[in-house]
Amino acid sequence: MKKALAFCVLATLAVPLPGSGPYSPVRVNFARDDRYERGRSLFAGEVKMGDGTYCAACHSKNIPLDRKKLQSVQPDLQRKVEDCIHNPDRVNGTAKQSDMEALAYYLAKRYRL
Amino acid sequence: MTFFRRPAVAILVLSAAVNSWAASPWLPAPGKLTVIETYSNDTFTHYYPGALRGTLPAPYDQFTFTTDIEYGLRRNLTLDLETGHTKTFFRGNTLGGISDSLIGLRWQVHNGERVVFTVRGAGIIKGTYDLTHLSNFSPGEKASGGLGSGILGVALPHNFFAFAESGYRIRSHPVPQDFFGNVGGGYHIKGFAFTSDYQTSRSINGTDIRGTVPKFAPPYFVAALFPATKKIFGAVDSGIVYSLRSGLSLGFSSSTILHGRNVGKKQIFAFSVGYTFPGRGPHF
Repeated sequence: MKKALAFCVLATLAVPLPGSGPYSPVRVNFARDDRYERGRSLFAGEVKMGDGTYCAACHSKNIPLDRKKLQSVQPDLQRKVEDCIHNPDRVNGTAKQSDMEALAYYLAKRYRL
Repeated sequence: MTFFRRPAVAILVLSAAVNSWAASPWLPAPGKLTVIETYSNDTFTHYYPGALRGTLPAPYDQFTFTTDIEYGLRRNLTLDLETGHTKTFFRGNTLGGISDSLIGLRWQVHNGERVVFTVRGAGIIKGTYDLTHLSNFSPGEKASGGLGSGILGVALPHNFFAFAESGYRIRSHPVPQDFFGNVGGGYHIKGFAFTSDYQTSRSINGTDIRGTVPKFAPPYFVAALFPATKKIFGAVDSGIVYSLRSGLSLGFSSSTILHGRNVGKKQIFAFSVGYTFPGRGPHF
């Protein structure tokens, strides 16, 4: 009887526990890259670049952008973006070089150029 | 126990290790350095010996401090380091030390507007804790090796996102090789991110416990085989992280092991504090 009891205690205590170390939950840090986010916020008008309108105001409805159209101007995309920003009838503003790049980067990614 | 009574000493040994096998498909911007300190508590009373269920006479506890460091080397390449200090407590017995550490790279091979795919490779460096071959409360398997995985991330409309990972882990003999993976989703709004996922790890070889009761004598299972034991589990994680614009982040997560084989039915709570240098904002 004592042997059986001892065996039961031993069996209970000696069962392998996880043993694979401390459990660690999945940690996912959702974050789009900064350049994309900057370009998106400039395009959507969340960050103002000038006294006029913002990119999405024209390019969402009146002059919608599409992949084909953008592909045809892709080599010159950044200059086109600059023209749009400087045009008094459009954005009528200025943007830093990094913002220009961010806008072009956003468009390239958004429309899979 | 002394370790936890001496905060100063605790801080000194924070450069130790933890077994976190999962990783994020989204990478930090180049030049960004993030440091996350996590304190976690694993506890259980019920366990799964082989295909059976059992109950311990007292709870098993494990306390772990983890330091995670990630550094954006390039836009599509990140260096990761994970290390920590862990300690187990069971019926007045205790074992602890630097836990198994990870050092690895994540390479984002696809970075689309909504979908990212990242491959990961990491080396595992065995910790400094002692293994017990007489009882059952080793802090880990104390084995070096490596792991590799593919991680998918999808940005969904209305601030939702989804992720999945599938990988394989190889460690030195006699520790079994494992398949591991997870699938989950999340939601982020105004600095808060909520995630929930299912995570699994499945040894594809190793020593199983068979029969109606474990047999602890050759040719059956003996206590010295603990690190070689085949382990399978499925768990659910839930977490919340609040990120401030300053770069500081605070997190809490809880996990429950739902099913398994040769593992404890753990309940895990973890608190984390992180800081990102040089903080958020454009960096390109």
